[in-house]
Amino acid sequence: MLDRLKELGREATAALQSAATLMELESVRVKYLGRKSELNQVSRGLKDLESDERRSVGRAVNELKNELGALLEQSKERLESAGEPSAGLDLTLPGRMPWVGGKHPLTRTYERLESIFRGLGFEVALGPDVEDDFHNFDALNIPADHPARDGWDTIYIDDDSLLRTHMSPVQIRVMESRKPPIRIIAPGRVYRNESADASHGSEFYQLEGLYVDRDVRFGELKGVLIRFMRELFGENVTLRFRAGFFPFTEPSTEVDVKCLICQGSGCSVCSGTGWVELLGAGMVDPRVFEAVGYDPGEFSGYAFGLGVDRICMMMTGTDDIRLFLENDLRFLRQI
Amino acid sequence: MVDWGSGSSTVVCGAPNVHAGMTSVLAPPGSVIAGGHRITEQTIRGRRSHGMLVSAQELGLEESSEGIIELDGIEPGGDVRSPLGLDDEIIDLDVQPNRPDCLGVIGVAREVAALTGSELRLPRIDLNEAGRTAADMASVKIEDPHGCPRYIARVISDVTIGPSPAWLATALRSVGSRSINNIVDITNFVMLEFGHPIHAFDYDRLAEHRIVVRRARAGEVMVTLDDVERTLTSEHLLICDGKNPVALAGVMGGADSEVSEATRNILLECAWFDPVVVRRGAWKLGVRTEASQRFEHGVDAHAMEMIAARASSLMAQLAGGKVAPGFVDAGTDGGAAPAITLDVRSVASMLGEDVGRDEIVAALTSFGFGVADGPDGKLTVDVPPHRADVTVEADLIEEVLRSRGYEDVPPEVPFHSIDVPPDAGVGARNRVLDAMVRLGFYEVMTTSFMSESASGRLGGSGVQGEPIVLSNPVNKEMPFMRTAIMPSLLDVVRRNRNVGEKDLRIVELGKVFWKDGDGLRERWALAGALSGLAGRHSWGETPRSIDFFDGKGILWALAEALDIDTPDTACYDGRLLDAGASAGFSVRGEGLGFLGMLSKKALAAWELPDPVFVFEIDLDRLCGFIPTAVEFKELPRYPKARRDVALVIGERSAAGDVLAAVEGLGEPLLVDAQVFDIYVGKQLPPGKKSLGFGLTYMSRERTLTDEEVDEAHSRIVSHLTREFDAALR
Ligand SMILES: [Zn+2]
Repeated sequence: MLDRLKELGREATAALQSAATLMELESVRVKYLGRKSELNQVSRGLKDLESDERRSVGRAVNELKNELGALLEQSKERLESAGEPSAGLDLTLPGRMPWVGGKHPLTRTYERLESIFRGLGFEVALGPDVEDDFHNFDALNIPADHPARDGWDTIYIDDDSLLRTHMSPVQIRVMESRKPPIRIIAPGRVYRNESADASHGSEFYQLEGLYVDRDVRFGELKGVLIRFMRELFGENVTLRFRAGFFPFTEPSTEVDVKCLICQGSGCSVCSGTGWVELLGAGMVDPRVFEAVGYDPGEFSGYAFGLGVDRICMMMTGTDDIRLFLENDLRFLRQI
Repeated sequence: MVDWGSGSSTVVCGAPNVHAGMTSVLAPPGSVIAGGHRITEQTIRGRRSHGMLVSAQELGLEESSEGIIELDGIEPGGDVRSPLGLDDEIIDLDVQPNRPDCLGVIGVAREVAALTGSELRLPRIDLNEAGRTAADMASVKIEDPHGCPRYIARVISDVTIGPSPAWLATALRSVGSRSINNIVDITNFVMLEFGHPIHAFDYDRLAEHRIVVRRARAGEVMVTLDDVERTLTSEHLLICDGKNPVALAGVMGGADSEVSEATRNILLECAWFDPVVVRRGAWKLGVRTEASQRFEHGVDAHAMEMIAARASSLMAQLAGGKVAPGFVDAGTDGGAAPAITLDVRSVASMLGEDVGRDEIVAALTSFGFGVADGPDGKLTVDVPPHRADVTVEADLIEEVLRSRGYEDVPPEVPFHSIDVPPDAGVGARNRVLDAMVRLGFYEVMTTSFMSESASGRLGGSGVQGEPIVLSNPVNKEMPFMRTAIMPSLLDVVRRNRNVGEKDLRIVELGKVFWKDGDGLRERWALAGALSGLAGRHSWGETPRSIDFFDGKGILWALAEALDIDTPDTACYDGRLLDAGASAGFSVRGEGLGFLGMLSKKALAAWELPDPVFVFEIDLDRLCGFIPTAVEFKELPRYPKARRDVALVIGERSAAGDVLAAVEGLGEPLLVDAQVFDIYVGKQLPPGKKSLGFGLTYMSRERTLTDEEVDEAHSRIVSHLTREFDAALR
């Protein structure tokens, strides 16, 4: 009987140790330690044995039960900590994905620009898309019947109402409602009566900035624009300041950046010139200050404007501005 | 076979004059010929052609040509630019509207001279005046001194009309102008030199050899030299002879007095017309000419004698004319512009402290300004007549900057702190967009314009009020400002479907516009469209198509994300949507917008084959509901208990009414009520349905006993069974 118990002990130990899953372990437990197991039968049969044998077999049965019980716990722990591999999962199957959305590339560009300018102390100001002649033109030193108006192919609603052709009217509205110092950026959609091609749309996106205070210098304008461009495009960006003309700034400058698509060798985005005109800027013309009731002798300031679609094109390598308004999901997901 | 010096290749050519041994011009693959066409390698009549032999027309040298160019005295592979007279350098300038003086070569040369420190050389003028004086031969009368402050006339007799010499024709062609005859070409050439348009009349066809400058009478008619009969208004300025109009001042000459083969004597006009008068006159007739554009920008009335003399001398030289002594001069050159006082300190404070008085004086002098010492250490600056754009101190500061160079101003970033007022709603809209993106939507940006047909289809589904009509729309099909975003959003759905993108969730945050009486209004809107499958395709699952409740769930989830009360659903009767699957909704009694399935009619109108769900919301109003601050509430410390109830009620009873009744009871222990099951089927009596509700109970003060929960639950259940005549299932 003791030999049989030893043999049973060896068998059960091997079975417990080799059980590969919790389920297998459970069947091993039932077989060797369960109610109907041989060991239990021996245990139940003890009372029929002689007292000497009963004592020695009884002790052996108890030892074996304890031993196997401990081993069972060990195996259980081992298997539980290893985790029970589910049968038959092909882990290479694709996961079940939720819908993923995304912001329009122009929105992301605006967010980037706004965060840079916020860091430089500018706040966001907004205004209406439907403007009047005064805010869009007259106050900006672009009188009626002046050829300077030809630079804006304006979409009119009636004699006095039009769709804003630039974001400058927001500057005027802010200056009308507040006294300097003012440091704002005005992001938004603008409209021109031009038919669309790869680099121009009739609806496009701009961001303008304005700073008015006492003794503002041209060098500060340059400094802010250089800081902005470096933050946007990296330290190695190459800028070029050229003389320019805008009726509402004097002096005026146009700022080009070396084409980031072709590195200056010429491509469709830069019309083969290697440079992309990204910014127009200048010191606010005293006649603009007069229009909003500021004393040009007391205040000076700078203003700048940039084409956000152009910047988005440069940042994403998109070579056709129309893609931004077509909203092809294959494009939106890619960019 | 074409030998091009350093190699040879096969080129297929069908020109009538091509023959073995000739020398012509080869455009290899990659080159661009006149008209913008790019040459590529291609197979023509079964033979591979490596380029193209070109004609003078294809090189842009002639209007039309027969056959390819044949050249003499040049070796294969040689440079054809010189033999073809194409070795001139052409500089394309973008002249800003404030610098009309640079709309001529001399103005540009004057700038270059100033910036490089070299000397400006003007063209030579040899008049050799002889015979009767101009004043004797012609007269000028200005009846409208506002429209025409000054008019100079010269007379050149005995000219021979003929072709221009090659240098003149080539010069005109190089700037894209056509050679007509020697006299007309001279007027064009002098305009390009000085930027000041001039005009040559046939002297013998001017009645009484008299020039009268006056406004047109309303309805007066004249035929311009492009043979168009034009009806005029009193806004038009006319040049007339003793009897009739002979030119539209500053815009175009008349057909009757045009220089022709038979012309013998010339009356040369050099005039100063008011920019606004010319601009309006040209604009009214819908014409823009080289001349009108230059007059619009303003010309220099002080240079007129020189310009008239230069043109006369060329007419003598190139057309054999005799220049009558002197000229007829009517009106005034306007006198000198007032001097500007320039404070040296304002220059320094704007450009940098190191800009000194000497540098300022040198810069302004180089650009032709007269600089003298003024009062209080300031400078008094006289503006040269060709720089009418310079009127105030800031203009002079720009001149100094131009001379110094924009690159030479050191950048500086000083920091001045400014109090920033609260933002203009930007933050709230960004939050809405962020939430929509988290809900799986792609943001799109569509046009602000709307077609008439879309406006009609919208019915009352856009903002209330009349659409704003554009007087000159970019696209005649889209004459309105959009009153809703939905139409252009549906265009996006269709475009994407056409490229195979069927499962989509798109959203736009943009403005909508309308007319309210005389007021033009605009506000922000949020619109979205969903179509296709409710979930993304995955193995082992049959994806469900999207339905009304996916859309509704998205809006409810948006409200949750924005910390806004769950919206209430209401009836909706907009024209675009399926009445059975659409709803309006509101928060705290204020209508926010609508959501629903596009009607069959609307789907057909937008050519959409599958169901599309759309929503459009007043974004300003929605943002108004977003709480500015969120209040912290202590987290519950006691457990929740849930009890379910299934009510068998009439098929037409609304789940929302039951939930409202539950809420209306005001049971203090109830914290949540949800619909968890709907059943209609054989196990129920006909005309009935079963609605399962899960009710959650909790107290903030203590753990509830089973008895307390059961009591509260049975209060609610018995209320519902009474209220809805319902049985329990
Ligand atoms: Zn490039």
